[in-house]
Amino acid sequence: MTIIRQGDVTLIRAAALPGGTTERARSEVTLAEGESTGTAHVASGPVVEHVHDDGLEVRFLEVLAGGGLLTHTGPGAHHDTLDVPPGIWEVRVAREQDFYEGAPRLVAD
Amino acid sequence: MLMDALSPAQQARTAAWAEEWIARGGPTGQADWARFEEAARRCYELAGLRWHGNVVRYDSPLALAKAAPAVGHYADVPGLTRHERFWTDVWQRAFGAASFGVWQSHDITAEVRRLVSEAVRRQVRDEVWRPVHERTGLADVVYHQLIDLERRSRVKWAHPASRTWVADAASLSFFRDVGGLELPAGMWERLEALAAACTSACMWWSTRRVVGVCDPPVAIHRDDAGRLHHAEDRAIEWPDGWGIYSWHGTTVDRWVLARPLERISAGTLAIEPRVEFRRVLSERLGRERLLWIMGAAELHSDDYGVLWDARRLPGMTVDRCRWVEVVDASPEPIGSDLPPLDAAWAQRLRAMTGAGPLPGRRYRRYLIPVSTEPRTARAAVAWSNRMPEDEWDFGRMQGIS
Repeated sequence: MTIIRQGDVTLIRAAALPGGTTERARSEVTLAEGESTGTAHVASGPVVEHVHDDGLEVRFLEVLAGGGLLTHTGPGAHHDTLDVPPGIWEVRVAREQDFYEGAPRLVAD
Repeated sequence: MLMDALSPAQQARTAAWAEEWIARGGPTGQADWARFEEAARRCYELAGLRWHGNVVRYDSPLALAKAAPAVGHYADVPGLTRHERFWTDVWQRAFGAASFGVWQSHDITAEVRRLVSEAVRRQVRDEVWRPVHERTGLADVVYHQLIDLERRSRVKWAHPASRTWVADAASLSFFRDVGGLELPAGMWERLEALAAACTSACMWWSTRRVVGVCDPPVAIHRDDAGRLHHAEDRAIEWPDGWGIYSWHGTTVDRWVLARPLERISAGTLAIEPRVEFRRVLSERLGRERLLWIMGAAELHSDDYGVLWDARRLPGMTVDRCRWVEVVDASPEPIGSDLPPLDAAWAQRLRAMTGAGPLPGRRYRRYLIPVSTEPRTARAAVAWSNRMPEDEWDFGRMQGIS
């Protein structure tokens, strides 16, 4: 299993795109963004976002020939830009524990 | 004569050129209203438009943004396309001419833009003006609401011209003054009219019947890395008191900086949902004070981080509070005032990235709240990234930042 990680966003190489997904975005895909800080993790290049919605949204990034880039943008953005080789990648955004709710929640910048 | 590469002397001038234009992009103080109106008038005339003479001044970008939709309605006039051609002429034709009029290769022009424009863009647009646009909603207002009005009401030239233009202007002036670029007649005049309008006041937009413009900020505070920063007050402020609170480039709400340290508790950190706000609060506290107020004890440490454990606070539904402390793989911008990593954290960075800290660079450490299930730091990081512990392995990482 190959992993690419940029801050709170992790891409995990998948063998193939699972059935039941629908295309949502192309060319420039925001994988995660912070509403308060204005930073975002953005995949760009020949990339396609696919969503598998079976109640709990699962996202995939299809990177076509030539490869894509994973960029951290916005004020205060500091993560280096990473190359994303062609292939299918599952997108996971980090989670953290909410001590009051007693349950995990997605990390929100 | 066409050149096929930047000479060493030309290359050496790029950094100073960028610095000069960074300074032009962020001045403070009084607007030169007479100069602004004259320059705006020239922009209209050069675009082939009648100058209406209606200039409305606002105290801040927020006031400017709030006024934009109403003015868009007021300025409902039959459509024009000449405004758009004006911008196209200034930017696209100038850069096109630079690619073939000074240096033989488009690659050389691109190199100048990388060395000059990117440096200016990062410091002026990304670190100063983008937060302003986002905080005011000016980008939304102008690019979405006003542009939408433009389509429906045919108001044109709804351009929130501000000092962000300096990034491209920096390269164009380099082409001209260092590379000897000659443009078709009238092109520099257009550029200079636009430059004068944008540097004599602050943000502005224009329609067929009215121009809206705001005062420059009265103060801009930046850290050594050039990011908006003020430890206690607004990092950028306008005459009407509106401004932005920013901690080393991270835009925060006022309370995050204003709350006295003695009133920041473990509960404050636990209940705040925005991780960047928690990071700022944690950095204000300092690591020792932070762990002290949490009553935290180290539970485990390995190459992936340090797992901390503390008692729960009233109102919490978890048995214990756990955090895993990790280090960012990417260094902070040059000039960061964070302390250097100690040997243990340098080793963790080495394990993660395959290399130790870059000379002279600083790395941010931060705490992630985690479940009580993980027993090791590695398991806690894996839990946060929703991976099995044995699969969260630095050796599997093709890229990390």
